[in-house]
Amino acid sequence: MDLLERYLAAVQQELPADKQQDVTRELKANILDQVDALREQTPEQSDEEHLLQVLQELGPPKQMAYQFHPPQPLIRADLIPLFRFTLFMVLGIIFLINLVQSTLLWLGHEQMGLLLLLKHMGSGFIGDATLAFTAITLGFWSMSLEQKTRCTAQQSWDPLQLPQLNHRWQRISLSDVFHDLATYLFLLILIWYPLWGEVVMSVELSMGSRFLLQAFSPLLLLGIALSLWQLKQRYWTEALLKCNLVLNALLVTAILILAWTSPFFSSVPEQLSWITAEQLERSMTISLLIIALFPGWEVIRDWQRLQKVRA
Amino acid sequence: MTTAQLDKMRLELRRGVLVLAVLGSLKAPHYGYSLRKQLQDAGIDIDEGTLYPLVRRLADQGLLDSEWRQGEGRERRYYQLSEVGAELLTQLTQEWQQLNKALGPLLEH
Repeated sequence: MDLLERYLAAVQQELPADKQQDVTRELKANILDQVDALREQTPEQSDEEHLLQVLQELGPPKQMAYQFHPPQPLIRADLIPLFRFTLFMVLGIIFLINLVQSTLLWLGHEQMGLLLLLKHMGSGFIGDATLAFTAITLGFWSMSLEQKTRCTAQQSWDPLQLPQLNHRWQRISLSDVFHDLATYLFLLILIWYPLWGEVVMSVELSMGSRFLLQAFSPLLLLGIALSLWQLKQRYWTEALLKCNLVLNALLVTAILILAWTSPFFSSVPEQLSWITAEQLERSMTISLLIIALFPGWEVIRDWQRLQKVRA
Repeated sequence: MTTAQLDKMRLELRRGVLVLAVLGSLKAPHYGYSLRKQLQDAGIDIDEGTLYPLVRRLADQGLLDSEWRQGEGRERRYYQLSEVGAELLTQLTQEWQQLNKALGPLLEH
């Protein structure tokens, strides 16, 4: 019966300490009963053969242990969509930050080749992403432990509070919210990067453009607040549309002011010898005008939506 | 419908019914193997890997009382319906009968 002890030990290994003795004691009794029953049915076979048959029917030790003690998921099922979007958003921002950081470093160092750039970017991203993944997972794990909040939310549920939505576009998808949130967060981090990042920039912004960029931070904070509001209330209302319209109109204005700020850069790196300062300034102006088209389009879209909601 | 789909749906259908069958069988005390034998004799085939953990879960929920007894040269854990389990079984039996009554005409056509 050495096989039985091996099986029980393997099951025991997969169980929590407080259940190990009790479960294996009972399992052993049940297995021996089954072996006895098989002995009566097929006396010509040995006990070892009977035991082998019983264990095969019971299944692998891990599966048996999981039946006795089903594994608990680290994160509650209803939190998974939010967890996934948060993770993708943060990892996306980290990737972009690392891309910017590595590119600036590359521009600042003449000897730095493409392979070194990729190595710097890869190692930086893996380090930051690991930290972010751990922090986010731990945060959602602690949220999963809060069962009480979930019960209260279910008790206070009132069907009459369901919004009356006349248009399909009034529903805001989670991916749209996180897309906006990621954009605002990334821009905010980028604008204030010289304050906390390793300054190796060879492309220096002029005093005027830097001041303007930092002055636009409240707009980005407003955008983050609006995204968080959308996360809580997942549909467009007149108030939310108005706020989004105002925000986008302000963003368009801010980007246009920035586009006409001259000079935008105070220095051009030696690596960019193929482009003149004037061409660089013009490229920046055109890029900013293209960027302004996005919030500009949202202004027109929200204006039309506002009319439909009011109608 | 594939065999896998059928197996999955059979499993779902049986899951709740097995609890009722186990609770119903444990009006009298039984140990693991004798319970399985009783269910098998009644036409309900359940594998050991499902039955033993299910019985323990029901006991953990306070629906079954258990005690270790010595018999035939071996110790065995006997289970029997607790007071709470008996009350629950009465309610579940009524529920089952109502469902069965309602399902009958639906499945005839």
